[in-house]
Amino acid sequence: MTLLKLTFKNFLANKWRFLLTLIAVTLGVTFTIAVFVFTDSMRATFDDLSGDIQSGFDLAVRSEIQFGDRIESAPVPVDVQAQIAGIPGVAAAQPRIFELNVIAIQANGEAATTNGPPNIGLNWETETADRVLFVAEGRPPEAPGEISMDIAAAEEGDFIVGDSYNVLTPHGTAEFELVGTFSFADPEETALVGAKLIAFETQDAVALLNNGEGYDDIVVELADGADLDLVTEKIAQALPDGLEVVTQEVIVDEQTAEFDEVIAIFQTVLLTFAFIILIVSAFIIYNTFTILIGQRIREFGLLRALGASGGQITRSVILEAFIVGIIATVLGIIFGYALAIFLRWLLAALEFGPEGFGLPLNPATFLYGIFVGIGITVVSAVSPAIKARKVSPMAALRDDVRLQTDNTKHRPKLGAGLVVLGLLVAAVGIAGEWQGLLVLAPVGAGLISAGAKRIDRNLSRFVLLAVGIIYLLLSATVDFGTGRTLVLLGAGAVVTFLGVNKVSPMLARPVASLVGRVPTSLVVGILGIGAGLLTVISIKGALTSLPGSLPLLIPAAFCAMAAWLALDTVPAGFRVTGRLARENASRNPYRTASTAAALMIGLALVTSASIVGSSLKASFSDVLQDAVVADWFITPPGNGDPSQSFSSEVAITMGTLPEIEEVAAFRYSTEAFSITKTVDGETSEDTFDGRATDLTATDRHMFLGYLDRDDSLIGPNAILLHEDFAEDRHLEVGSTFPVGFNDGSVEQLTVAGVYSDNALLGDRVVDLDLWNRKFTSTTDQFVSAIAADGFSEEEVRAALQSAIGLSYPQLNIETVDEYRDSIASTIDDLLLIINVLLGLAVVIALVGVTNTLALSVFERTRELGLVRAVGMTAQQVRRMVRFEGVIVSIFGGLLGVGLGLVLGVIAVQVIPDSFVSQLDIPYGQLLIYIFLAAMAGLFAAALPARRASKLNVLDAISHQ
Amino acid sequence: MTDAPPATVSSTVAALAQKARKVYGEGDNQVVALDDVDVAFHTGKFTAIMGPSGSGKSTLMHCMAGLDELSGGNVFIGTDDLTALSDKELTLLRRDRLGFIFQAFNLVPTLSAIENITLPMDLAGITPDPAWLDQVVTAVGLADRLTHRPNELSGGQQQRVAVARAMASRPDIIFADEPTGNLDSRTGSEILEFMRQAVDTLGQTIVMVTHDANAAAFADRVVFLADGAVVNRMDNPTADDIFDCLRHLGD
Repeated sequence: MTLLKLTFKNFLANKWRFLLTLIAVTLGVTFTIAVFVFTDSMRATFDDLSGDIQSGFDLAVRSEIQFGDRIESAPVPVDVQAQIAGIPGVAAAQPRIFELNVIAIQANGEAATTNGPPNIGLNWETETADRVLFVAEGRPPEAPGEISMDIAAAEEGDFIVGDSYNVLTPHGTAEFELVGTFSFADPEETALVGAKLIAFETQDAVALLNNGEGYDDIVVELADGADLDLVTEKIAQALPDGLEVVTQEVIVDEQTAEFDEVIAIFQTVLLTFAFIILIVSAFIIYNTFTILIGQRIREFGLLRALGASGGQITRSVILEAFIVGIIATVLGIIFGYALAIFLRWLLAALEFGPEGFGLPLNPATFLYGIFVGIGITVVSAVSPAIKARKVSPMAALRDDVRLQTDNTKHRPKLGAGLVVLGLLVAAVGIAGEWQGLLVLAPVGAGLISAGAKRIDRNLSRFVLLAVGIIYLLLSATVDFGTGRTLVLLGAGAVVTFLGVNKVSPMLARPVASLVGRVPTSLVVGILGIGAGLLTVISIKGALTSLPGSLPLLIPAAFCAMAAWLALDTVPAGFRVTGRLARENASRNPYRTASTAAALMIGLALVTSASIVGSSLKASFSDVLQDAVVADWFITPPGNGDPSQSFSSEVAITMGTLPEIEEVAAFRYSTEAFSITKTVDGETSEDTFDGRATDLTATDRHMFLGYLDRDDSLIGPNAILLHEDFAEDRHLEVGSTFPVGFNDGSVEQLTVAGVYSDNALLGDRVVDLDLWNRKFTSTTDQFVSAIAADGFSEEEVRAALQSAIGLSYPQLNIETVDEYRDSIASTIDDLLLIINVLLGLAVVIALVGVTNTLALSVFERTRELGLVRAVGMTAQQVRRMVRFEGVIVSIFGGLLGVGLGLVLGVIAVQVIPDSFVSQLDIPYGQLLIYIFLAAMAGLFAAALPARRASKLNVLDAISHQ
Repeated sequence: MTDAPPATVSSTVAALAQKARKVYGEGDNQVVALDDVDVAFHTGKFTAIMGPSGSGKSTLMHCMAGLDELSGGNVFIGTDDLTALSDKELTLLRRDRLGFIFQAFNLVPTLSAIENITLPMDLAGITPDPAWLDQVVTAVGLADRLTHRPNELSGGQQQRVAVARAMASRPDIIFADEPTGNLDSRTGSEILEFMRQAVDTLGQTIVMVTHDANAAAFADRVVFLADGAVVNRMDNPTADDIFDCLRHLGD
């Protein structure tokens, strides 16, 4: 009972000190909850969608496929419909056709594309009683040349019923009359999730969307009272080979699974960021509690003297953490839900998704929030709590006590045992699966470190760092397979963080000594002037283009504050205040290091992300430079998404232009081939991605870096292989091997060439004729062209624009350089998002820096009172504290950027060469990060500096 | 001397030190704070331990109260040998059977006066006897300040709270380490009066370390330490006798 009361009282007395900790944990929980709520709702929405899309029937007839994309499967012959309709028990047999990349062109010439969801063309259902599409305006398409569009798309693109529009289909562009609009799944309200639908009359759909070859599937509605199993069997018997009949459930499940795959990736990526944010929060909690406990040593000593057991004290501390955790969790859940709502609004505003989908709050989400919020807080407070327990009752009696940081006894045998155990655990982890590795690698490192502490206390500081670096080097040099290598990289990063954190106090003194001098003051001054200039520029910008640019005043305010803080702090470096600041930072290296720690993590992450991103861009640029020989690139929107494609008419039209000498069309599928592998008598079958093009033309358009080739073998059954794949399967030019396709057929393909450069065409390339025979789609994923001699670039561009640009407005028509630039800017966009998310971690880190600075100011109350009594002005005190903030932040920044460099370089080594082959370190960016760290230090120290300067001198001197 | 408690241990000896030895450091840097000290403190008596700085008086008290560990010898509270107890057992002993008054930092800053007074019993989970509590609070004159926090009390009031706390649980012994060191002479005398009364009317045993002869004059017996050893014992001391003895301690 006392424990509770004591804890509550302590908490209430110290509530403001916990505030910043609370903020850090709340941010972490908020992000986690938002991710879960958001992805749960996405999943629910898409589950509903699956149900809606695949509703209104009992059975479906479709072609059998062995593997791969159903989009590529063989069509169901037209006459099968009559067969099925005739079977007793069948009330209706409705053929369905469904095709992606069917896009209508608006009256203003723009393509009515979406920003992520698909553009779909389908046929209007006529047979079944249960509808999926409901007429809203006008009527359904009843003859070739007529289309109907979903209401939302029609409204958005200003499509008017009765007018005619061009529509892009795999067959090419043609004009259609818009005879009506419809809503999807619900007569009242269209339930599409941002996708755009265009409906055609069924036979028209067959011709335009399926190349005249048949239906995608035929769905069957049973008559009342018909027996499902009986009818199923009869249908199965009636079907020709290659077709199957499945229940509606199967189809819904498949659809749902497809959606789930995408959502799962999305969720994993976001959760990784949430995890990083949480790690930073954990750090902050650990630091805060350690400092707070350090400040209460005498109180703990007194309690121990009076008879409180060590256990009671530990429990009290953990209880305090628990309270912080609960509050943070509750706040986090509330804010997290709000954030999810904001995200939904944001995505809709960016046209990335629908507006009205619900945001469910699953019980699981609550549990995650509680687990994360309370778990992180309590776990991070455990170590400080245990230190509190060791306070001896004598602490109450002494005037100057410090928290014992380490009193591990010298026990070499136990130590050696722990080290060996740790090595074993780590080895087992590395040898095993990634899940084991994730847990065992850090545990092993911890054991080794604990063991080393008991053997030689001084050397043991470096052990954790050494283990971390060994993990990193292992991940970079040994091939463990992608999954395990990445996990080892991650584990190595975490252990290295902890290791650097342990060693950093040793660096604090020399670095603080070095940094806290005149040059830093000058740098701060220059940054201040720069911020001042930015302020002026942004204010000018805000005022000249009112009112839309008023938001510019916010960064202007920031810059103004930064400028003022910086310029006001400059004198410190030249005077004794700076020296005091420098000595304060050096005097307690543990505190300096722990203040800087969170900032170090944030910057390390941002730095390594920058290095990886920069290398990615450089590699890609490099690749394009070498790999592309052609002059022009035609690509659909979507940046390499294989589902984005366009009619083969484009390539054909281009070929007729005098300005174009040669055109090459390329097709791509992620699950194209099934190839078996026999190793030691065991046969396994895997699916592989593949591309197709006219093999005779490839050389003139792409540089593949042939290692060996035989032109005489080029033909419909030829295949080109990347050297890695060829080596792995013991294939060479002239070898013949079986390749399976998803219609079940197997072809013997002959290797006509082995090449080394797989950046653009992947590892396997086959002939276009073969591809067309095996896959139903007749669309290209991208097209390259060689310009004819004698035409300028503008002339070629004009010709291309008029020939295909007008009819296919969604396509990008670019020279190779322009293509490279657009890819680079896509990578930049991606990096921006990553950096924003990481930036959140940095913001939390800054909260941590402010927190620790504030606590350290409080700890030095007596001393501050003393210097004020002796004659330091309030302004000088402010400068001193701010300068200390700058020193500590630069320290953290240098450590962070340094660590980030190491991690980034190793990450680049680890990432497969097909993605990143070149290391590029953006030194300029890194320097900017350090400058930003310095400025951040100013901001973090601003409030503590103010408070320090306002201390009542007399109270401060007599402060206990 | 054997290690067993001596035959003279009876209900009259509240605490006993037997060849108590405390050494700091090693080799040439060694400091002997307690040099095989033998001393007994009797029940129901007010004993003062005096000596110049470095005499080992505080060290002796800390070791007798289970706050610090001896390097050699034994210390008994009643018949319990403290050197044989674990940390947990020592903690419980302090909680249940001892009371403490320190020179400074006596109170938990976040608790009110009354909460500080009942703290040891709360830690033990015992509800204090309200009548006794009342009596103690009235005796130290704090009835109107019970809800105040330490930072709202004067130094003298804080010490009175400490005294009340020490008495509230009716411990076997109260150990006081320079309880009046930070107080003016009038407030200090008040505190010492309370302590005297507790001994006289309630039979409380008190052991007090002090360097102030006037404070020691309140005691029934004064034990003098110099350089880690007992050099004199004085019963029913007057302040003058004590001054005399102190003056000659250096001889």
